[in-house]
Amino acid sequence: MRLFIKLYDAVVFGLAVLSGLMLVWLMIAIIVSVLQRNFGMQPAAWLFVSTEYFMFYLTLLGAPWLLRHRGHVYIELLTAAMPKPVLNIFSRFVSLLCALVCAFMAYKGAELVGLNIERTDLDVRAYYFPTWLLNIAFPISFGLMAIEFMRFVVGKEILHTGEAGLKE
Amino acid sequence: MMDWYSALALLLGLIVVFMFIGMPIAFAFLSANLIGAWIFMGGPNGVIQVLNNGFGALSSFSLVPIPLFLLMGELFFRTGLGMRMFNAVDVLMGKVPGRLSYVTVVGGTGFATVSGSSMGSTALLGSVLVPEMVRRGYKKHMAIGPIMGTGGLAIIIPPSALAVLLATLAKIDVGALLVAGIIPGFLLAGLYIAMIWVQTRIDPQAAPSYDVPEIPLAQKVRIFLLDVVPMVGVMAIVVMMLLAGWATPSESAAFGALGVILLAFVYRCMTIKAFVDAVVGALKVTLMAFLIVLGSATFSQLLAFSGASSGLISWATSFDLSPLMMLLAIFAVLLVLGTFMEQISIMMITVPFFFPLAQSLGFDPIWFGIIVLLSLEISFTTPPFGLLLFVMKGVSPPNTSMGEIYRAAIPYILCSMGLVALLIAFPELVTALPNMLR
Repeated sequence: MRLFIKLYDAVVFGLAVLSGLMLVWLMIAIIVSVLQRNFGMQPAAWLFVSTEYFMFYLTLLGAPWLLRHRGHVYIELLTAAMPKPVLNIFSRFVSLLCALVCAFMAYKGAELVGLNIERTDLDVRAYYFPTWLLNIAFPISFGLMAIEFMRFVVGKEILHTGEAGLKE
Repeated sequence: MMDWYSALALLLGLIVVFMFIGMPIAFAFLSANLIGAWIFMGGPNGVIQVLNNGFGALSSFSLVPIPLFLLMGELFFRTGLGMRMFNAVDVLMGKVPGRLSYVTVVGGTGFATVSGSSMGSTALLGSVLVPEMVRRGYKKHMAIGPIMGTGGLAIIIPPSALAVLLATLAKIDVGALLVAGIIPGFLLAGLYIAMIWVQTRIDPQAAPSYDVPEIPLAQKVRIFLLDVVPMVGVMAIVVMMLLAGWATPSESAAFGALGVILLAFVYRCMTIKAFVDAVVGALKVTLMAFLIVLGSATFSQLLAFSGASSGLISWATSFDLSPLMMLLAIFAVLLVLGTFMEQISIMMITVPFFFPLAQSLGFDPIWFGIIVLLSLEISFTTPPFGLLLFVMKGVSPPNTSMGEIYRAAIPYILCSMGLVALLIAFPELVTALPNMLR
């Protein structure tokens, strides 16, 4: 079990690293394409397409890691007014709701990927790119986020701090 | 089929309730949109549409400047270049009454402009500068006010990540909205500086001058050339590239980030740790903002499908109010929303209504975009519930009362409102520079 948790943590962290590398790639790809243009060459189309796809990938692949660090902004007004024992239960309930939403999104995402494969859908930009390779990020990301929210449901720590304000 | 007002109440009500119970905002939007899509877009097919819209919204080239502007800002501060500029402004200011308040406006604007989050920059500047200013005998309003004011500048002076997001959502020219903020931004900075001057004239004890070591002119010039010009130069190049039409917003953002990296190497302050910290910082804000974009990507479609957009717009225009009154009504709505929501959510909710409405009223979309950005920042600092006030309370010295924070914020809110009035009276202040682009 401990090995499994370690492996899982490594996956969440590894995807965040990948997400960070993609962010740096956005800068590199744009600079290279501008330099190509200025040296009289035709900028490689895949550089442009990669920035668009990476924006999508980096958001979904990094999101579970951000959730673990409570980085998704949320408002604490109601939860700040609750006594600690009530907050402890209520916060877990809110996390459970979020986990259910994520699990549903992961399920529908997997269904969409299945559909994409069945219909051999292609995303048409400068190239033909199999759509399932893009949409696969949905079940992966939302599946992991469902697990991360469940950690706030059953784990020692809860999502909310109980202090008024906007948290990010 | 539901009436438009029932549909609107359902969609907005769900979002507000989910946010109020403390769901992360991205998930509050997502949950409300899933329910809305199920009802208005044909059950399970509607949910698939939510996913497809999410992909479409994020894989859009117009959003690329956001992570890159954030990376540029993070690099500026993680490498210490930002603080170097801040200290230089401090030294150059000399023995002026209210010196640190001016430093806050000038340095804080630079900081907030590139930091991407007014909450983040307020928290950091507040925790660093307020104790220092109080130690120097400044009254709290002279310390707290300018810090909250700089957020208003940050949102309109390019490079502003929020302006990119607003332009993308409203489908207006990103580059044009960015350059449109230059003149109003500098005007607002001027108003703040005038405000501090007046405050120190009325009450010289509010910001007592204190002895600073005398620095020869030659050294001052050296500090200016070494520690101010190159840093401001990078930001100026980004803006010039946009203004001259040499680069798209994405390209100027990428070169801005590269410029900071090169500068950090020249100043020998680029370390692996600084680079990694900068990427992590930029990634966190990007992920937070983009997941909200993903969660709310279907919202405007739902409003259109359910008839809520057209219903609300025809209802609003049926009052036959003058465009100015309509603008004030829009302003009031933004002010109310700012008391309990953050800026990205407010944009997501209001852009689908306000921009078509503005178009029907004959407003220039770029001009209207700047007014919306200013309204968002004003609402964020407006007593009694503006969220930035609470952020400030959190980082101020322990004996600071909410009343003190309100009193500190009000003069700066009045400056911003004065600017809005000025921009209504003279729209050319906004439209002159973007017109050069066209």
